[in-house]
Amino acid sequence: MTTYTAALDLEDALALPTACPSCGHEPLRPVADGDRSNLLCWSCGRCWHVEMNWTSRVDPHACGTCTQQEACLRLVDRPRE
Amino acid sequence: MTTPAPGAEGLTLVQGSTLCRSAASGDIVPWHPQGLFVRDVRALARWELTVDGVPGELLRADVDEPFAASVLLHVPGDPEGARHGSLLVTRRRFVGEGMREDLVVRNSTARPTTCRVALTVAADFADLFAVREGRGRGVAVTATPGSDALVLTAPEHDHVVTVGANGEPVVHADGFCWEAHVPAHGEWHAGVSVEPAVAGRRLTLHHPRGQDATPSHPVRRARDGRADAPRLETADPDLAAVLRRSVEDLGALRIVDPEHPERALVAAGAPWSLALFGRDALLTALMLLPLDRGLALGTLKTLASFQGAVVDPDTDEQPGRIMHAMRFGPPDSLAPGTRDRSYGTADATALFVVVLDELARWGAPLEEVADLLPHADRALGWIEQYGDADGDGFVEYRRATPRGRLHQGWKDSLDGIRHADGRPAEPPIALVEVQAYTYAAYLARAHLADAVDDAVTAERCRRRAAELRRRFHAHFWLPERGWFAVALDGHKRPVDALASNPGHALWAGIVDEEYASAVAAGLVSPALFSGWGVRTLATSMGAHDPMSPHNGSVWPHDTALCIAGLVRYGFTDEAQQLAMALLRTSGALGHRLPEMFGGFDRAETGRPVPYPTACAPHAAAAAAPVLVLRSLLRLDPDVPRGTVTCGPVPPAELVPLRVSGLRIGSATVDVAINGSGWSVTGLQGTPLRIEALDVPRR
Repeated sequence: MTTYTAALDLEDALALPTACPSCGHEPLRPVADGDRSNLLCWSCGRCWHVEMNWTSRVDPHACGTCTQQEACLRLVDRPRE
Repeated sequence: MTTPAPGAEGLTLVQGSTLCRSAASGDIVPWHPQGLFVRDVRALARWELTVDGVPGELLRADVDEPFAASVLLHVPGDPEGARHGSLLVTRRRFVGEGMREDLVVRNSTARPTTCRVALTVAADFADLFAVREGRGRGVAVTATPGSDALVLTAPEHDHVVTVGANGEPVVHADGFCWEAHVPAHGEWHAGVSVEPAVAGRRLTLHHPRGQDATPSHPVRRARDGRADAPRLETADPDLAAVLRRSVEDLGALRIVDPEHPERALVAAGAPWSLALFGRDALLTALMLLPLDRGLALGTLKTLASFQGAVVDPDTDEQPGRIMHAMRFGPPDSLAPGTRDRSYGTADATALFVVVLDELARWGAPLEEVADLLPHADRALGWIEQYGDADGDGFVEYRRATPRGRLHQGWKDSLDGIRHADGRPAEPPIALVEVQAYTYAAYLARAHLADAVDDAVTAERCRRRAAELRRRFHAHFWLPERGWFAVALDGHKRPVDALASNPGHALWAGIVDEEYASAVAAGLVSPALFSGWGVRTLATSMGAHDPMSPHNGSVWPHDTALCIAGLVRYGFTDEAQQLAMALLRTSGALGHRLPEMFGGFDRAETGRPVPYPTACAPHAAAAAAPVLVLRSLLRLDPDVPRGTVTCGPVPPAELVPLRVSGLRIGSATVDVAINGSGWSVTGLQGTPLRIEALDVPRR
């Protein structure tokens, strides 16, 4: 008889990503911008938004109410060395 | 990775409080539940693209990411006209605080060509929920064309949306038109942006025109493949597949309280209900307790922190009341008369107490439960002071203002509660399931009091529960009908429709044994059981409509609660029948149970009929199979008392069946069933003991 299996790790499914998708640094720091909660990497300065099981990079130019916006903009606008 | 979007279902994109729903071609067609919605208001009601007057033929449509999609259209040539060769049109769309669409027209021929690209645009600023329910007419809008933008305004409602375009379009009051010169083997490009304003401030697009969109990635979890995580093994492919899909979908619905990101929370459903809804969140968390206690704890803590404190008619807030819905973020929803929070729910407050007790039964730390007990007492205080405003012993609802929710149970559409002959019930309305939840809440509070030797509270709550139970049977049972009334109306008359609601009364345990068999028979009768699940309203009722959300459709979470109630009262055959129907429904729907589906008879349609604006994924629907599984296991832990009751009654199709890694208190428990019997392991060395439930109560 065939046996069908399912991993039911709901705790893991509900966990927020802990590592930066870009540099791998842990942990990510939750920050808020209006109706969006994002995850900021203190190591590389990239900020991430998680929605519907997808992680996308946040453009700090669009983060009008986040207290971290200035720091993120400085990082983004910094000339490449 | 892309997900093909079936043409019949169209395209749905979400980001935060922005939702875009269109035909698969990308067009937003008037008079359909489509549009670009920003903060609960429809900023675009029409968005139709033509080339030389012809809408393109859809070649493919892909949802690339939750907020981005690509559409490829074919526009045939016109051998008798100016343009001989065919064209390919690509629409690439991004949403987030508005919308951006990039248009590309590609000429694959060796001759340059010219075509007329037209985009028809309109707004109506209709309320999102009204549109979903098919009653969104919107408001009068003034269109003001500029040199490269069209401004759509409804000044009396303070709504403005600016649609800007490049590529030197001609701007009309109804949209844009480009004279597109497309070189041989070349492309023509244009970009359009839709930017709503809130309180005079234009929102910042997350994906502005002219900027490359950053690619995104599937979420990588920290602990993929934990060895000790809960796991299922079964002989039934549908059970395994629907549970796998449910866990994935619940992860997709994860939302974050910016103040407490560590608290697990899920939205009610996508795309329409990406917000925290009290009732949905509590029922979902309760159903999922066998897999995770963290969601229940996060949900309870969050709802406790927003528990009502004052009387506010605008939001239906009252002291002790658990909220109906809230969206984290800016308070300035664009929808008229709405706030970021509303409290118009009659059942979430009782469910809060029920879930807290269930959490304790599954072994949540006592200090966590103790922190929430004052909120449970405030919830019971609301039930007695505000919920039962007229002092008749039942919790009833009536909205405080015309802007509030007319119906405040789970059947909350405008026509959600009706008499058998189809007449609408008049408020204040006391729903059958709300009394049942209230009964369960009193017993839950008594049980919580037992755990801390608070005999006074326990006795008081049990006394109230017993009194409610007595009055419930006296007022809700309809001897001439042979079923429970769905509600009492504003004149205290029974609302005598045959509906699924009394199934919840079985689940909550308020029904006396002598009436239970009638409820069970009703749930599996041809009038209520469609063959796929339990209809919200029986086919014999005056208001029955298989495509009405609360007057004939089937809701998986509703059916699951009925199954749990049937098992509770020992109606195993009936519970198994409904359980297998729900599993086969999932199989017919790609193993994603939607919020609801049509209540057509299985013999009539052969497949479940989708409901066009149902949420999918939907949290409570995704959680429903977990409750079904737990019910069939008859697994009831009571960690404060040191017992785990179990007595599996799964349908033969599911066996052999094994569920491992279940967390009960500090134990990790496995339940296994095969042809010769069942076993529970993992309790050795713990303070817990197994109590076998071998014989159905009946």
